[in-house]
Amino acid sequence: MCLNKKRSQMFQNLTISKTRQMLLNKEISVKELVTYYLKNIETKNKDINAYLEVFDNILSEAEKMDEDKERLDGRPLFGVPLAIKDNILIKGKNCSAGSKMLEKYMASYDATVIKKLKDAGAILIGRTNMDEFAMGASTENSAYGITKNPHDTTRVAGGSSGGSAAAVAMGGCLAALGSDTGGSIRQPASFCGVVGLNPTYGSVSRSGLIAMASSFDQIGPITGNTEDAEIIFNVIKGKDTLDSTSKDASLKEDKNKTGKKFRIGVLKYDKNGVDGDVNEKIEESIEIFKKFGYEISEVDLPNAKYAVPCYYVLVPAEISSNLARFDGVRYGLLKEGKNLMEDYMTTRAAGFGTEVKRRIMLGAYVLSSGYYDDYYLKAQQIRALIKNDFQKTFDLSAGGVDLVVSPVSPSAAFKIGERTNDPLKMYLEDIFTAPAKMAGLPAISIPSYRSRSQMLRDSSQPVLPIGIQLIAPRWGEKLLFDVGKKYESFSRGS
Amino acid sequence: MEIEKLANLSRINLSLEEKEKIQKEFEAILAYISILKRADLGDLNKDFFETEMLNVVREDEGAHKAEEYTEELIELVSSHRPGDFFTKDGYVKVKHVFE
Repeated sequence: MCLNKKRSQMFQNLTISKTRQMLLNKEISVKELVTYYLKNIETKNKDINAYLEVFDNILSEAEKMDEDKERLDGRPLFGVPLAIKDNILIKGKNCSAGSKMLEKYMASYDATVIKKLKDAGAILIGRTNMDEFAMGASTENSAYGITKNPHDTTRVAGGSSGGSAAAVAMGGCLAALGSDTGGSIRQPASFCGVVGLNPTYGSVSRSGLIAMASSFDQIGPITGNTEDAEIIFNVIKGKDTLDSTSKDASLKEDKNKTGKKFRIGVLKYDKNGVDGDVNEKIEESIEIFKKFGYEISEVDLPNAKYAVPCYYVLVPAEISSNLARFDGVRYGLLKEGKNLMEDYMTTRAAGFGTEVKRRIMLGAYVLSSGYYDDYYLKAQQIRALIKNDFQKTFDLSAGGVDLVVSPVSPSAAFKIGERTNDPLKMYLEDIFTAPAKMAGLPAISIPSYRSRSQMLRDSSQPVLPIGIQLIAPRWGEKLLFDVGKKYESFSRGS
Repeated sequence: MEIEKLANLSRINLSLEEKEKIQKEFEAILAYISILKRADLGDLNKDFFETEMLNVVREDEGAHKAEEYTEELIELVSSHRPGDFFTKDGYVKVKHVFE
């Protein structure tokens, strides 16, 4: 089945709401919708490598959905084609976390978020590429090839959820799920010109997410617009008995801004350490917020400068623990040696890539006696200080703000291969995204506004998207969505 | 800090080249994270670091029916291992642990 050009145009720049409306009015069918995305995948994925696998039988699944009389009732994502990051388990499907270690691993259960998406009527198209075990900021650490940026294929899509962000940006799905530990949803969203939400720690169940760092990991949506992120977040969130770090927001915690003037704090940062383009976007965004009547001030997080070194102590420590399960015994790759110990050592040498090995060993180091106090314990204490900095910043009774604005990354998407020889350079990508994770805060990356004259100026060369980051207090997702939607409608209006 | 020792702790065989490369990278990474050692925690007392976090536990019973997942999980192992050494009677089998 194919779509003629005129009909194809109906599917461009769809939102979940518009899709729902069109399905309800029978203007389009689920099958046509899925066909449209499959066609884009067919043309673009060979080069971009956003998808590692497109699932079989999705067209017949779509047909069944079209025959379903109950259809949209009570299913907020009915017929919505989604891409899923390769570290979220879907029962009966391959799940490899971008690693050779799990090349043949078949998930034996659905992640809780997957159950929720299925109940909401979503159609899962395939699994997307990622940095191996979510370690990286460019998707260059995948064991299955890099993912290119759809805006400029000489550049990276970002990471570690590069495949999910690229899939949305290239029109390969309506929306996607990614995971964020130190920026892995927000940074690729920024690089690919899409929206990426890192939710409040504990708001979305981690059951069925292949664990990297358990006190940081969160699953979140990557979408074409803020409202879609809100819709998907509302489907996947919620306390889960299978994840004891999850909970529902209490009434007291549910942030809902009423009355007083909205206050935005612009994060104080070293403008010399950041590309001119990024600084320009932050300044423009401040002007836009002023137009909305928001009160703007500068905020300083004095301990945020320790966020990246802190991150690279705490996260490798948790990684060394979480990846100990990959030993060739119950699942995954096995390379046999002469005895059990050699089985472990040979299997893990063969199954893990360089960055993974590096981080496991770094974790072993900071946890070992003699170093534990200096590194791990200190980092935990500094984590508490960073959390405290944010608490003070958001304390409205003491001159605080409602949201913090900052860059997502020091630059737009960098060239493929530019940072692969220097692990530290890659780690510094997390400079703006790591602080919120230290405090378990929700943060969203939204494509920054571009004026008509800017678009004309740049028409002779590929345009590189730049995202801006909004950070809210814990459980403050609604604030992120409200401001994000307002910013977007301003962007669209001009 | 011996890379060899860390590799053993991590249960990862490293080639000579890998060892040399990681040694160099580690020096740079450790120099970077050492900024934490110099960070001044100020006058904060122990109370500041007390956490509001609680352990969430359940009763040690009724998680699921006995052997509910055994067949499926054993199949996962046996289908990806050579021969039939690695599973037996609903158990996963390994080489001997003690010498």
